[in-house]
Amino acid sequence: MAERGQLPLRGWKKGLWGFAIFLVCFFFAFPVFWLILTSLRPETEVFYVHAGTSFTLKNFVGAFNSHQFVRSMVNSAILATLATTCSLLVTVQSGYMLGRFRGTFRNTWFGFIYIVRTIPYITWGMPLYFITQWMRIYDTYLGLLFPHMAVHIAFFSLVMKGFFENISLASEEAARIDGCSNWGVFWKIAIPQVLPGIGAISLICWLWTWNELLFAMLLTSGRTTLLTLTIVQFVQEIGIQWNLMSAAAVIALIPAIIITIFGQKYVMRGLRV
Amino acid sequence: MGWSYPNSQRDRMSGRNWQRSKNDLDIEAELEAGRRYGLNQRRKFMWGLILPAFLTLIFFEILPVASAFWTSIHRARLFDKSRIFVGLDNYLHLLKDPHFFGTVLPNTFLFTFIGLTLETALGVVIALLLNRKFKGETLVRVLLLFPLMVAPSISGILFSWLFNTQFGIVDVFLEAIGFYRVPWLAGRWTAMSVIVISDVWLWTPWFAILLLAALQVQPLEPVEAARIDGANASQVFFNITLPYLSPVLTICMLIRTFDLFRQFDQTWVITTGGPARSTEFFSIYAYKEFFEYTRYDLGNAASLLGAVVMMIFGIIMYRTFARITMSEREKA
Repeated sequence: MAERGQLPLRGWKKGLWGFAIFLVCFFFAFPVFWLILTSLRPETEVFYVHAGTSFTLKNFVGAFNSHQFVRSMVNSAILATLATTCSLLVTVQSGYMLGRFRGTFRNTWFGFIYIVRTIPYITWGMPLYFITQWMRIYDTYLGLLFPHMAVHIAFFSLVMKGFFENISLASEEAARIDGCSNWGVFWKIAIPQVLPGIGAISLICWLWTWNELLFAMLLTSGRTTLLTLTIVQFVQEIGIQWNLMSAAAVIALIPAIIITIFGQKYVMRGLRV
Repeated sequence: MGWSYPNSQRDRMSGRNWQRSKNDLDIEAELEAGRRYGLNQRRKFMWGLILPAFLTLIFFEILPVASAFWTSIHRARLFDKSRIFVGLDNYLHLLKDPHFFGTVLPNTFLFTFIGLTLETALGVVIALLLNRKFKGETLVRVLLLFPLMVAPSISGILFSWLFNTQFGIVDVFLEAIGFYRVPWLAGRWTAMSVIVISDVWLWTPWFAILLLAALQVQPLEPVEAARIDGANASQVFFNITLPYLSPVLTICMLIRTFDLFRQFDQTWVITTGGPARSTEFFSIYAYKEFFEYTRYDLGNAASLLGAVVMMIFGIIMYRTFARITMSEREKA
């Protein structure tokens, strides 16, 4: 039968379709599979990953013992959690403003966010190197938190706007007639209705902060070093030890793996444009 | 002037716009609302909503951009506090620099163009392939979602290992099927293609997932009617499905263009701009000018040029996009 408007496939066409699906899966799964396989191989056999048969978990121990690894992991986790909390508080409000009002003021704010979205990170990241020093927050959580918040505001305000546009106005109007204040309506009526969406965004927000490299390169030096930076420095310093490298990379992938497997349906909601 | 919510449920359901759907009851409600929350209070509320976001953006995005502009018209070095006014010299220097003009800019535009084309085309194809019921649907979707969660820098590591000249599996495979080994990261074009592949791996799923979501709620009557009239698959695709997808597709491509253009992480991990600075994009160039050659002014000028290009592009695209969505709405 025809499902979703597609004609049923028969014979060689069905075979071709299956093969195409297989190719897609292979292309997207293989690199990660290969990385995990490499991380399980002993040091001497890492250069013929495809041929050997011995496996070990020593690489993970080695990665954890390497310089600053655990510390940067903790730093990354703290920063990602902080940034997610603060960004969401700020972004939800700006999204509500975009989704609920109309007029010049709202359009100006929309245009502002859109323009800010087009500015490449490097343009404002480099001056921040001096500006955060001037503000005395260079190489601290705060100095990383605010730039990340700026990124998230530009990214997620528009997604939030979509969430608020899709919920019904009736209950908000009813609360207003009952004498609820603007802020009361916002916090008690509007927010609870978009909580699933906020949850989805918070996962993505957390992961993107965890994944970010450029700000870590520009705005840290030793004290609050972050995981992506530590691993990248790994590549450039001990680039030959691929077993340790891949173990470190696999460890950095753990949150991503957990979120994809357990939060799959959830995350999809936050990805829309 | 009273106040009104945009796009209220009623407006959308009736398909009319606010102005025309006003009746006596609405006007009364509006007056009531206007009395309770006067214009001033509404303004205050709107400001209150955006103020934290606004301040963050001003201090941590607009102020840096202004500072970048200010340094770009001065002579500024990383370890030297003095600033000497030089006007547009830095920009002229960039435009005369054969490396910036002949390598960095073409690289950036080429990468943006090729990456966008590949990701869009593959995304559409994958979304169409997956748009039916089959066993293991969820598994395929999880596999697709996964690259989106991977850090760009880690994706750089993945691909520099796969394409490693001595031990990479790609070269091992090429040798096994009787080909010769390709020193991927030693040449400009091969290194560029590795960067492109890593970006395609990372971002095609985004297109595929969003387009698939749109396809799954596509109204099927036009498709079936066209089939009954004897349209073949490609006619259905180009005349019905593609126009239906075009709003989502346009906005996806727009956002991807911004991000492809400023791409930094993967390139930094895979080639660091090498070999011999031949795969530098403008953000890599700016970063290197700043931190490696300590020419803060040139770095800022380069990054500002990139920002201006993207801003102009963004504004043009916004207008085009507004027109597209408008015409779609008129059709509906």
